Amino acid sequence: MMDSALLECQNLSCDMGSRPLWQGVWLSLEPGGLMKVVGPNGAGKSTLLKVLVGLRGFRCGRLMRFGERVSVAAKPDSRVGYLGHASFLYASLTLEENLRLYGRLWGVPHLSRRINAVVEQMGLQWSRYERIQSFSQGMMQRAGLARLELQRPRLWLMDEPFSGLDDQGRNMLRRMIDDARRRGDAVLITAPTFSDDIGDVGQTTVLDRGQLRKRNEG
Amino acid sequence: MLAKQLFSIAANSGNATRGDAQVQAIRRWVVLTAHEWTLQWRHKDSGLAVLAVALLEIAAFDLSMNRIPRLLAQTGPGILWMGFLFSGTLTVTRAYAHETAEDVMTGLYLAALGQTTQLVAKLTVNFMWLLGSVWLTTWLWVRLFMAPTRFSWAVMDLILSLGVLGLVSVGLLMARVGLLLEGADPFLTVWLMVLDLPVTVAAMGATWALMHGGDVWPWVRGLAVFDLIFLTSTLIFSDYLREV
Repeated sequence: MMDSALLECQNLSCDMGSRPLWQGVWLSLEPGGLMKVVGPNGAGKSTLLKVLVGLRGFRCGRLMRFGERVSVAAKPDSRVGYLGHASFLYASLTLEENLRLYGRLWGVPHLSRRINAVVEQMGLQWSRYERIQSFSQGMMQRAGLARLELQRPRLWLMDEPFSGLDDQGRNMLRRMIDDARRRGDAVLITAPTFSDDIGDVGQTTVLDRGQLRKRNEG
Repeated sequence: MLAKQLFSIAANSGNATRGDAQVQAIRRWVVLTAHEWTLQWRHKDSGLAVLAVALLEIAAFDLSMNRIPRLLAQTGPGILWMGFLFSGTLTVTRAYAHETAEDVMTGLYLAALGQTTQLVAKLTVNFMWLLGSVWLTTWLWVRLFMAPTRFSWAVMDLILSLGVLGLVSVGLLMARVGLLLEGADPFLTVWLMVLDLPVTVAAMGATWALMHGGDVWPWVRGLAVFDLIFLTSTLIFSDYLREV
């Protein structure tokens, strides 16, 4: 079963400066899998995601993505989608222009049609031609999710994706995650609390005091 | 309009040659260049700053020295290139300003966009904008203060192009360093402006020689060599200066 995992960490450790941030992290995400990593502020959840996406190196251990070992200085992989605390969108461009830019860089086929679908899915039709700098925090989060949905990665890594979203936005995100899992993608999200913001969670793990441990099995 | 044409070229080439690494790189460069053009067109930073400084220079020198036309003709190349140096450097070093908000650099990096592709796109668009305003300023200066002077505009175009290429190359290297330091040293641009000295001196010398019947080519050759050095250095260092 391990061979089919989209993401696998074996005994992964990471330092923050000279002190260890977390160590001995083991996790595995198979197609259609969902994992939620919960932990207090400063536990290293965001850093964990950055390591998994390849934005940060790790000290030791083994990281596998799509069955291939990833080196410490890995190149970005378009099959991995990442939503961080920033939207990665140009503030002075409109949502449409931003999505078009990323779509062209990723080589998304039938781009105009895909942008139409994504913008409608995120409920951003009315803001499509507005500059990102005029967006509220919730709209910005939706715009970031739109960028991710346009990319359609196989592995979704989302850092506190529910923050800033209203009820409608939360429902939309839940549907987005369900759809991704149905397609066989794997999803890993982080959250600061155990709140029931997402329904059927396959695995909930807790990252605290430098250790990642399982809370329950779904 | 230009941006739309570039985008359509990029879209077509992408469909025709998927998987080919070189074509992919060119396609991404075209996409980025069109995108940079859109950003510049919307903000018009590069062109307007140079024109503003040029108009200030023209007004100041016209008011103060118009009665001594010989002096203006003699000092013209120096005055012009010092203006291009300051206004050009100040605008080009802000080339990454749009990427700082919302951590766009990380997003572009994750879209597997190489630093070199992005840098070449920025270089292309900044060069076009800066060259346009530099050419307009020079033409205005010659018309206003050096009307009887005759010289080849083709050679002048070559000098302006090489000079602007040098300023943009050094400016982009400074912009990359500034991005790495996250604006920690606001005087960085001023300190690093000294790097532009060889290009500025060579461009000044070539312009003066052209306007006053001297030998232009040693200066032009020097300018080309400096351009090559700075362009290569900027391309090499940009990959090392990646910050995510």
